Amino acid sequence: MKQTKDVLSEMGQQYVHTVCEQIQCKSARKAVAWELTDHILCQKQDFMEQGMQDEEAEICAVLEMGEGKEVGMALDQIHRPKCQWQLMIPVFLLFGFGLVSRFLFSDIVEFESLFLLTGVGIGLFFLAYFLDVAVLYSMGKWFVLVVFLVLGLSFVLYHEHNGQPYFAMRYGMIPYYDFALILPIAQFAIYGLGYQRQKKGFLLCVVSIGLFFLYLLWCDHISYVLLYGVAAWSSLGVAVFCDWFGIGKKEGKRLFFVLTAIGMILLCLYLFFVLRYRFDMAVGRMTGEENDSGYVAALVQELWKNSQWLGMGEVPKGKWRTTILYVIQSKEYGAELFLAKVAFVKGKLFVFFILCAFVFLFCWSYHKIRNQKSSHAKITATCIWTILLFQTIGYIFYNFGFMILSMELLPLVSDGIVCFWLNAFLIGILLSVFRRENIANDGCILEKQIKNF
Amino acid sequence: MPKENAGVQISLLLLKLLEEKDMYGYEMIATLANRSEEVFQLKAGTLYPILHNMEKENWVQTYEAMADGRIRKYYQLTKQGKIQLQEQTAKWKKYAQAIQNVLEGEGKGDYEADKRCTF
Repeated sequence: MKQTKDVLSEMGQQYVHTVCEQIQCKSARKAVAWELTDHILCQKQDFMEQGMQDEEAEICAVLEMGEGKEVGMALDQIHRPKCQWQLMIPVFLLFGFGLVSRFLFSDIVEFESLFLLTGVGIGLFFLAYFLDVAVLYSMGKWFVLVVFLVLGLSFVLYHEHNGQPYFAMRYGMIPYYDFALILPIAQFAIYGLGYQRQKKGFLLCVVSIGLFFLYLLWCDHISYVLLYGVAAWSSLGVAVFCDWFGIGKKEGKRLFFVLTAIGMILLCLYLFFVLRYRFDMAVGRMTGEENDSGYVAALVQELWKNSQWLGMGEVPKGKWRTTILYVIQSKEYGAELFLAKVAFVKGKLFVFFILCAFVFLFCWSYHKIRNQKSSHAKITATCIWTILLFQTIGYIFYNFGFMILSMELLPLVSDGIVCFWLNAFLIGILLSVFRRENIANDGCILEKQIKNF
Repeated sequence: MPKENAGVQISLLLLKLLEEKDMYGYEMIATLANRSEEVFQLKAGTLYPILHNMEKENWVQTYEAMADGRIRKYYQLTKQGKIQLQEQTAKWKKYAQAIQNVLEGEGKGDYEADKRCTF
């Protein structure tokens, strides 16, 4: 409420304070304080034009406002965060499916470990659910500092395993590519810094996206590089379409499309020249033999067989037989092919229910994103929604044999401890944005940035 | 005037103002007072809860713009708001017509007179 203190006398401040005191939600308080302050100042100006002195004009302006406590109570009723029970249902169904799946297929056999794992996930979900994501945007400088400090340290502390950097802990190793799931959150802080700073702000965000992208390339997991790329691209797109940087929608779109084209060309060149061997490996894995003659032909050949497998629901003959039998008979969890395993062991109905929960989650979230009023809520929700969707679609396609690259894990359901926790946290943030949709506008949370600007 | 009707009328007036152009809170109060020859003198404490409720219902949307060196919140009518305006206008016209009928139509629709006519 800095603006209030700067421009109003004690009586005006007291009035705004009385109103805001009645409002439980802190983010809403700020927005209301801004609006009431502006109103008092407009009224005061009018009174002064009618011949009143400064002090008298402000007293009269405050008296014109109405009873502070009553106004505050009325506003409090409107600005209470809304419980997102419609989305809680699919989320907790997915937590449930995850628990059952781990119990059935995981090599974690102790109940305590299973419940602890899920419990921590649910805990992180609720932590994020009650978190006000606007803080990330308004305290951008500090978050950015912490993120770059962590990334800097990661270069020093890493252990290489199978050519990929890991953080070694007493109980296991955390792969660095998992950062792909939380780097977009760090990106929000950078968006906060770039708010209404025109081309400087846009450039700042693009450079930071480029740096994070390079970092993930160093982590050497192409699926996660693509995941971050898609999430960063979608959030930047929304920011430009909302004119977040203040460069104008037309100019913003032009810059965005140019950047997209350059990014696509660079990515294609990288995939074709640097990572071509990975495609060949993936095709080799999929077809059961090494394939040096190009992956497209092999992919097309396998598509028909895969769709037959999907339709028949029984172990097919030929090259796929070995893979499927391996998946079904393997005592390990088989995280990468979990859905396929569930389909064969527990039946397609189980998979159908899991997919229904995802479809509902994504459709309802999409509807909620479209209703978001503030730009920062739109950017946050779109980015997280894209991350979750990309993982889910990639995972499903891979499981049913329509994709030659192994993708990320299925959010909340499939194995993978750190990913499971991070996804639970991300879904919590998504719901947190929705529950505060009527509360804060961009201006009041980015007060400092506007003042500097 | 019943209290609930008063609430509906204020939102109708606000929607009508916003149909013409985007406005901020104080501007709406001043415009309403001017146009109604000081009959509608809304307090800010009455206006903002109604406006915020209209925003929650998605009848209006808001955006911020710099004015006089500070951020000002402007309200803008949405598609849903336009539909709401039409509905409320139709309701109000019906209501006003009903009052008009009662005030002007002496004898017309009189219960006892109608009863006599049926015999």
